[in-house]
Amino acid sequence: MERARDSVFTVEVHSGSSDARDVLGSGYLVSDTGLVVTNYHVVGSYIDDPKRYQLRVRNGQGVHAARLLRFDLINDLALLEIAPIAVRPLTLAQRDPERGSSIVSLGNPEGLGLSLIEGVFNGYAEKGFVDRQLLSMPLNSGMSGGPIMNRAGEVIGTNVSVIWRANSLSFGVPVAKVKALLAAPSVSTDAASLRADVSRQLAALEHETRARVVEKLSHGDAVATVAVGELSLRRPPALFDCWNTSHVYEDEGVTKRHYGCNLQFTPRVEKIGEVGSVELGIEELTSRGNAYGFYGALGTQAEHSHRIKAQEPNNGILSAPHCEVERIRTRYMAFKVNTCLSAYVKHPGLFNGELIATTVSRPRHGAVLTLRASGITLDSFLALTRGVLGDVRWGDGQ
Amino acid sequence: MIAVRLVGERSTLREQIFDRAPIRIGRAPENEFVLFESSVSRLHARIDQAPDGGLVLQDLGSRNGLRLGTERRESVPIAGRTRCRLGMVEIEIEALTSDDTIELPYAELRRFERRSGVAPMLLALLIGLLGFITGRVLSPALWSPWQKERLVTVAGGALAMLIVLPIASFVLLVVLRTAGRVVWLSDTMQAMAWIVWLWVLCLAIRVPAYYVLSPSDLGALSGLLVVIALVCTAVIAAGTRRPGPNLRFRAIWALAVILMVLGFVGVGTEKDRRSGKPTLDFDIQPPFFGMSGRSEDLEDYLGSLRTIGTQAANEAEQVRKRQDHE
Repeated sequence: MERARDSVFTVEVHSGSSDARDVLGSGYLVSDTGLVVTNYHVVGSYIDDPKRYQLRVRNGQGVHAARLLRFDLINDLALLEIAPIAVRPLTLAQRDPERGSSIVSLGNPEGLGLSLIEGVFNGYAEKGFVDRQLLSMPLNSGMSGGPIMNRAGEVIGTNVSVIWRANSLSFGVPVAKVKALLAAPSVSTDAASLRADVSRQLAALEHETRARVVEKLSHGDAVATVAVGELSLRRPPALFDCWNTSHVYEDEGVTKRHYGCNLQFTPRVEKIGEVGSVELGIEELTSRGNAYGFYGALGTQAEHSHRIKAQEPNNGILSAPHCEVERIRTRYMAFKVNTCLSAYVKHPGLFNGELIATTVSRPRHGAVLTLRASGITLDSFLALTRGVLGDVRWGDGQ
Repeated sequence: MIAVRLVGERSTLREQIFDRAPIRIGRAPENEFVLFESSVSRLHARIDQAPDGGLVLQDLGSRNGLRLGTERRESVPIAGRTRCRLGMVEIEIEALTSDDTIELPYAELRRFERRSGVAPMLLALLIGLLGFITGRVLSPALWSPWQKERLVTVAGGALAMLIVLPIASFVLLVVLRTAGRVVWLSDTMQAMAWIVWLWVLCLAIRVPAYYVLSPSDLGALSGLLVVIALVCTAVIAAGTRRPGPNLRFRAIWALAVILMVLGFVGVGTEKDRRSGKPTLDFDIQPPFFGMSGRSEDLEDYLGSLRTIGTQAANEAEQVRKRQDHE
């Protein structure tokens, strides 16, 4: 720890005055020339509004003004530069440690002071869009951007996030992503260039979503299916995290079976929120009781599914939702579908989309299908709709 | 013939018929029409034959004068039923002609005779109940495969109706009485019974429309039906029968209610539009005798999604331009 002490910084985003710190995270020195690695989400507010904020880093020796060189919002990394200081930078590891080997992480939790936390490296998360190291260690906010090191003191990753309510499960960004960032070209830090760079990265993310999710969900006949009650739908690609629940409402005589899938570790962009997320849900409702209980449950289900409606209108980030309601028929079924689309104001071509499809075409059976995607192109969303909605059917093929 | 009436708060207190003018009106006993009231002068006014053949009421220099409405007048020409005030007293003067009698239809007469009895109330209740049951039978929810207790649903609803209809009628009665209308409970109960049938009529239009129209057209139709039904309800409520001619009063009352309702609907709609609230409806009706409604092909729907997506993108671009401008 003593060796690394001065190479680990507290990263602050502030708006001018010397005391006010708007955001706080950690970072570490990786070169003699003053390159500091931290998280994108630590400096996100600066990237969103560089006129309003400034960056600085702080270590045992003092405070240094910092300059943003480049960032990678998909992997949640950013590279800063400070004037060269007489501190030995941390070395980047050449390979991952063994699973189960012990590791340490450094950072500045809640700005309270430099802390060292010990943990275990558990390999990589199986689900999800981006590579994440699974770490058994209790990271805290403010430690984001700090280094994760092996026994030899080499950096193997960067602290990134914790699971809420899980006691000591944390995640790290593999060091390979830092190396890639170090090799990438820098961007200018005026507002327009930063915004263009965010747009470019979002477009790249969309491209990847399209290849890894949209194509898989929308092309050809479904090879594998998954059953939800008597419904059957195309099995989502393996990178989705899926779960089953069911619930019986005795009073209404209604049984609900739910199957939901989403993507883990989708990036969060300052102000916009989650991007590149695709969320799929299907709920089968079966009624033993009277019609009103059934309609009540179905209507409530559909109503509660709508999230885009809750979005604040004219917030300057997204357009107001544009919605279209229609009864449609697919090869297998008939639905009432309500779709809403909101376009990104600062990143042309990207949308948040939400689709709720309801069906009552079968006695005592109803289904509510939800599809939500963020930071996606119109074409991708339509392809997803075609793939998901066009393929749902009652299990016996009727 | 000339009728001179002393008018009270709600009815005529005294009427005298004269063959010809002049007719003197005042507190003194030698007048033809005597008004024993301290604000009336001894010789207050006189009805004279005007040169053009009509009648005119002349002030005879009375202390408190002659007033038409609030306006003090030297003379008032008599046209139809003319009301004016002498001091604190209101009188009505009418030139009677032989063709003033109107024919009263038998049905009106019967209504007039029976309106305070129990029988018309029971009849109104029955009409309302029939309307309710017809409406229930018309609703697809009753015939859906999910509905297992049809008889219980209808009977329970009908029982509730038996209680709700008289209560609603009573509320309407209180409202109309407060507005100064002379109506009876049987009148308002009958109005309520027709309002129930209005709902049935709306259902009879809307249910088949569900299976024919697209959801957006159906939404527009439903909105229109609601407005029409509200207007009709207001007209029925306001037009609830009242003895005596008072068409203008009824018309104004109905117009006020209609404007109020349209105002509420309009303000609500405009508020939703401004806040950018999307119109969502989750109206899901079950297959009705095998019909499950009009539907669009998935590919056509994707086409309309492309359109709204483009609209959203255009809106976002406008916001972006505005932000860049600032």
